[in-house]
Amino acid sequence: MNTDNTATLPASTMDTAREISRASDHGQDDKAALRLWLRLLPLTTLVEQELRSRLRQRFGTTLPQFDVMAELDRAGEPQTMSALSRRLLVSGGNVTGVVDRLERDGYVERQPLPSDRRVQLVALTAKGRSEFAAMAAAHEQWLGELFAGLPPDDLHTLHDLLGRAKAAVRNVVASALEPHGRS
Amino acid sequence: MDAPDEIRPFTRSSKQSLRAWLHLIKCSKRVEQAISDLFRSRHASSLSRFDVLAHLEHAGPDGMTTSALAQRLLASKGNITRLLDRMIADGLIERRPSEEDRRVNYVCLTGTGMEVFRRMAADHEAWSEEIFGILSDRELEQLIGLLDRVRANVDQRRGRPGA
Repeated sequence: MNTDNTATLPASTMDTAREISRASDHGQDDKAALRLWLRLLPLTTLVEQELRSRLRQRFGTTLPQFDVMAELDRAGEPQTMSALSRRLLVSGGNVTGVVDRLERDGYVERQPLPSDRRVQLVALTAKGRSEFAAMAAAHEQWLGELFAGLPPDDLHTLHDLLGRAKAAVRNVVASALEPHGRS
Repeated sequence: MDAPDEIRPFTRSSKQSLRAWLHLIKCSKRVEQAISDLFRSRHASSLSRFDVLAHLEHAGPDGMTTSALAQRLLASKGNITRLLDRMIADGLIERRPSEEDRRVNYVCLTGTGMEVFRRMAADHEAWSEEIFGILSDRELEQLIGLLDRVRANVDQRRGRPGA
């Protein structure tokens, strides 16, 4: 599964941005937005790599497999392949390959949609559900460790600020893509 | 470091950590996607190309060896070679054999490559400012500080589950 490639690019891009920031001739010291971006992506990549490596070592699984199981668990009912593939946009896996692998391990099974037998649904098996419960508990505990540098109040602030920035991204792209959207 | 009472406070906030992480990863991926879409539509280019240009700009007029560049980019050698070939065809970079060892190739920016890089870097910076402009200066600094503290902790704990 070719998942690590996608994970490594942002970190190096951020190295790049750091260099731009250093080399930039605008002479301004206050490039807070750029400095923020220089931290955001490398940190995400680092944590993601750490989670990938722990999932592999402890459970012999990958992040896309974990994400598919998480989505099935969250939905609480069998899902179509296309619903799962939307979810996988985040972790960058190929949904057919991921589901094949999970099926081989006995964690999920394919079943036809009762009303239209041409449509395949994917469901967690009992074995998959209990394996996922163990993975999710470990995953949450790892994140607790990795974010342990912050007391609860600061974690709350981090969550809030990132949430607002996250929500703003789409509007910015839309306006930047308009022909005369930017001044 | 391994004492159980060091671990307890972390597990207490693990739900909150998980929520913060989900916002972090979504925010990062959205910004990454946004910048990448913008590079594609405004510069007919990509983040990987920008990455190559920025490394070569930083390396200066002598450029750098293909293998040093590949190492910095962390991508597989085959992918890099194809990427560099396309960028050479577009006149952004050029390849020169090393004077000491003809088997070693250096890549460096062309004049066009330098110009393209400067335009992309200026947009890159402007987009970052627009995206994060939703936050006040104080909030930006606060967020940077928080991420630095998480980063310092992550650096300590990498590869040491349960530590």
